[in-house]
Amino acid sequence: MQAAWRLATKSVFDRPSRAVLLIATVSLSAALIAAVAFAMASLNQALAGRVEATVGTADLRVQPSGSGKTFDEAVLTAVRAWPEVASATGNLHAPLSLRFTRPQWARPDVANAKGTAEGTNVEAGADAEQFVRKSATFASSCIANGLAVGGDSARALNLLSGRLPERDNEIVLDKMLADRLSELPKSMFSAFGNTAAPKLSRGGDDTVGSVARQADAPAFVSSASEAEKLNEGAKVRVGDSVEIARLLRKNDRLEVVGIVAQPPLGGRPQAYMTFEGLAKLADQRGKLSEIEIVLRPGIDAEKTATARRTELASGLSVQTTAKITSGLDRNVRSNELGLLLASVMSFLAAAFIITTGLTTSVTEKQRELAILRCIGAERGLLGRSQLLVGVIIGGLGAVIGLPLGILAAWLILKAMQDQVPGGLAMSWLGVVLAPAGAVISGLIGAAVPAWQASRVSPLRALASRSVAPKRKWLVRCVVLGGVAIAFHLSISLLRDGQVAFWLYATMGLPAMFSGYFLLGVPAVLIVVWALGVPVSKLLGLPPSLLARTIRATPYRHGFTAGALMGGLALMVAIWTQGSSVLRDWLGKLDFPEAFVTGLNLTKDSQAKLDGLPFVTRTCAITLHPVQTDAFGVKALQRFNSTFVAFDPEPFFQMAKLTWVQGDEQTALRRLNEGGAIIVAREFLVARGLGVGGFFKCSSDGKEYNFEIVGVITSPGLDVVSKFFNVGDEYTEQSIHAVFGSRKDLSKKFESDAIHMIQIGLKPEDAPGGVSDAEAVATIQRELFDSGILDVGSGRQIKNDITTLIKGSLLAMSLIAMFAMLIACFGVANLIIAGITARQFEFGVLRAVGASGGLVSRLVLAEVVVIALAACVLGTLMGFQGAYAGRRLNELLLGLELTFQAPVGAIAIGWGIVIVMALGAAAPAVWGLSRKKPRELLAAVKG
Amino acid sequence: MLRCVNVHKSYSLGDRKVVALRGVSLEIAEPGFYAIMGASGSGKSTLLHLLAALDRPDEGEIYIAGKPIHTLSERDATMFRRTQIGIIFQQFNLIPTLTARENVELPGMLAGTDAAWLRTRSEELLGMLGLTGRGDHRPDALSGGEQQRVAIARALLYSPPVVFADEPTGNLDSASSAKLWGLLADLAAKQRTTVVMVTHEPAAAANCRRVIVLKDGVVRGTIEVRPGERAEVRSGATSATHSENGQRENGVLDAGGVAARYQECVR
Repeated sequence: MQAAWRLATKSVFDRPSRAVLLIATVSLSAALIAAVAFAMASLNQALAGRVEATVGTADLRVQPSGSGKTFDEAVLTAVRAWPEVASATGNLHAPLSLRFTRPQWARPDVANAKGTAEGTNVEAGADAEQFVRKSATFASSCIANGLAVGGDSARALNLLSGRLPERDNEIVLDKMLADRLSELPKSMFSAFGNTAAPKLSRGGDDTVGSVARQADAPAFVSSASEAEKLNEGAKVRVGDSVEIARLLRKNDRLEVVGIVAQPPLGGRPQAYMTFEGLAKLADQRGKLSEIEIVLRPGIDAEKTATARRTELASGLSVQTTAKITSGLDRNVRSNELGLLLASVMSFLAAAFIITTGLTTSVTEKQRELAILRCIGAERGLLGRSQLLVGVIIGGLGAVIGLPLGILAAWLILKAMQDQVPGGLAMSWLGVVLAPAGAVISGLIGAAVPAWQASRVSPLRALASRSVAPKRKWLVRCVVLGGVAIAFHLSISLLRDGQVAFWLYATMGLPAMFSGYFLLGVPAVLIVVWALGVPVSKLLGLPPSLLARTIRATPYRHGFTAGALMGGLALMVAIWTQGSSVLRDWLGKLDFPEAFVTGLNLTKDSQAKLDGLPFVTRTCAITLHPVQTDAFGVKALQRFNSTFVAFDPEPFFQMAKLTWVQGDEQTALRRLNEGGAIIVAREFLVARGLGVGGFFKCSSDGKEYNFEIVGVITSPGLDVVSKFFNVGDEYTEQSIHAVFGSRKDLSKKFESDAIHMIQIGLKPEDAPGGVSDAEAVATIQRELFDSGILDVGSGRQIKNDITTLIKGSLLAMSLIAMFAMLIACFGVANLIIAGITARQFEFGVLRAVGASGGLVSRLVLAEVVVIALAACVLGTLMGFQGAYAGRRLNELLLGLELTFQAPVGAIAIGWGIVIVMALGAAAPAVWGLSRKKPRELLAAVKG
Repeated sequence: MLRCVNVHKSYSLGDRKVVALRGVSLEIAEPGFYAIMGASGSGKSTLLHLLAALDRPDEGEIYIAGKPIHTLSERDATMFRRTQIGIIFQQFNLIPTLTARENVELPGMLAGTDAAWLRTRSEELLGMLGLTGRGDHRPDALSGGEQQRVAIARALLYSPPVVFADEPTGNLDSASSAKLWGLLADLAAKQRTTVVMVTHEPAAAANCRRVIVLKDGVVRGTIEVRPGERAEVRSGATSATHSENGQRENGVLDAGGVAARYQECVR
């Protein structure tokens, strides 16, 4: 073993520049995996913290069937009397509407803009370029939480400044709320907070803040930076007072005594008051929103919930908190599986690069290996030394890559510390996966070179004869590659989504990747046959030189192309799939023209909306989560669905429904009778559920069965709701909706809450009609005190979701480009190795009259052929991956996505691959052009 | 020391089958410096490869120091090459990324031999071959003659009873070549080693005790270059008068004599 180790270390460290390139390839792959693992762990920690803040140490939770409702606190007394209860705490939540008025410095056109900032008191003398002081009022709705003084319901509150409320007229704001009360939100997508909001001042230099708040603060300033400083100083902070808007009441004022960190990953803005203070303000004296129960040790929570369920009044449910956290655990597991799959692909790509690099190295060192065999090195020894080379490369890659990845994750989380306040969390999976994957990829990559090295025949290798590439290996590459690709495609033919998913994840993806890698060899031959002449002409080469060169070493060129294709394949798959989602899912959602959401809207709110001149009609909607196993991978996820309840007549008049099965008349009649629902098209696609069938679901532990009387294209009401509540539903993700009557909601689910009011608008050009933006602003203003949380227009929300999806695609494209960059290190290594191995050949060319430039252009032409082959392979693999993904979406999620090539993204990807490959080869090619013929010819000696 | 009995060997070259040896038999009983001489394609290199256990005969028997090497397994042949024989190649075949010392120690490193012993032995061999102070140089910093001497040192690491040299002066100038032949002859005499050299040059063969002539894969004759020579110390070249047939006074053939006798054998 010692001899093998010494040979291996010699082999690695005697050619340091090439070893560095291979090590860089592995370390970047390891860094990528480590960064993702640690970022995911940190996200999960943040979410777990959020769940813990919600759930605490409670075993059970009692709450009303419809969210937003309250119940009598006498229930708490009754619950405390249960013998199995160790302790029970009552909580109160209520929606509040807050206003904050402050000075603001803005340009006159902005200051005069309509909206919540009201322009007054324009100072004379200010011109259009200056920033004028105005009095601006900002408003936001929030969920207010009552804190028992001295109790532990203030768990997980991270005070950024000030203190918790002690008196009834005090309030604590979370940072998202504080930002909303200080600035106009940049977009409706405010779930992640105002990302442009600067940090709150934590003390220290408060000069600017003091200046901004003084009565003699400057009326106008000239520079944007000055205006920004003044605006920053005037933001809401501890000591300010905010106004509470209440329907038909005088507005109260509350003193801000503290600012806390916002919940991780968005969610609704939160405020905190004393319990009594909130109860008084929200007219909920003697009422509770939920009861949290801690059971005595040894008591089974599930059994207690089942036993006590019937004792509670109708409209109340009791649920184990384990059900809440188990949803989070399932999502964590499914994310970990995703990470595992991504790791396998990433390290497989690195292994391919190592294989190609080390194989080239073995070919180059045939003579050396032969000498070693002549003087007594065993076959096994040479094989082992190559495997150890792989281990060394993988090991060094791991040592560098793991800390690099952790650093990258830390930097990302630092930039997102508002959304993920917990900072970097430990990921044991990442700590194990990144280095283990790196070493294993080194071993796998070294397997073929080890076999090659062990088969070196001393005599054949010492003979100065060139050996033509064997045709049989080309045939084997084609056959094996084709079989692997066909296997991956065959998985798409399966009808069982569960089986298809697991086969795809464990075998299909690696098979596809390996198959295309092997097809790199015929690919370069085809590319040089088809494009060899034009490429040669472009680079001023003799017509057949390029083709002969490629045909002499097709495996080296082919496997280099195979190593380069991965990043482009990822990019093509992402954009093909992403574009389909935008076109075929989002594009087909018909959102309501306008809507308001709230925790517990009332008929009065609806009546107020009906009174607005530009509103044609309204419809009250309830969104009630139900459990169903219609979608997802059973072992990993459980997607719930949403029961969307409405009054059928106004809903059908307003909603632009497309009937896939059934008709409006029959559906209307059956919905009014009760026990019937309409399902979204995805149910038909995924589970074959259609008219005449039955839909089973459960809620609060009870089972329900509805007759399906129609299948429609979803109006996206569930999407709208989630849009404003991102992060709240991470514990149990819901997907797709079923539609039923409010009558059934009340009778079966014992709920009559209103979560959303769908609003029909007059066309803008009709009498009384206004633009969407104006309609939204007016509704916001008029219903500010009516318990609304968000107002939006369908068009705006669709634009925002489109922007979000496109942003995600761009972010994922960065990952794909990073993968291409990793591959380029491998390509550089291979080009250097190839040049070294062919020095004598280049020497002969120079000796017979080829210029240094021609030889360099020959190598560049080879790189172009390799890059073009990689582009073809990557595009085909991307398409195949997208096709399979499309099929899985259909089977598991009911999404019907069409297939269209994203030409723009593909063109950009091709350009990047070619440029990167040429860039990677440039240093080696430049070095080759400077070598004298004698130097090159000397390569045959010794 | 070395015995071949009716050795046959053929191999494929592209589509052609080439019969390299057609029943070669020879025997070398005592240590000394011997040559196998023949034109290009005569089968001399093939014979050397078989003797050095780099290949196996299709037919026949080969014995080196009494050991039947024609029946050795792949692994045993490797072990045999490591410690029982030394091989010197025409193109030196040093590992370019190792120093001269490391090249000498290479077989020992493969065998896992004690590093201290290897260091001592390599210094001794380098000194013996006039390479003191050159041990830390890589091959590209050494002259051709020096490189070949490093290769000889490597071959002698374990003091093998038999050393094979395949056209060892093919890449050297005439002066270096003459020095090297003298070195090999001294080696054979002082170390009591059997050195078998493959060559096509009469000048090289003139340094040997006996020349075995090959043509078209068969032994065509044997030339006694130094009849009756025993292993003894020879101090420098003796100047002797030459007779017309290339034979010196003491019966030793010079290059011309070897060439003439060679021509007689192959006619």
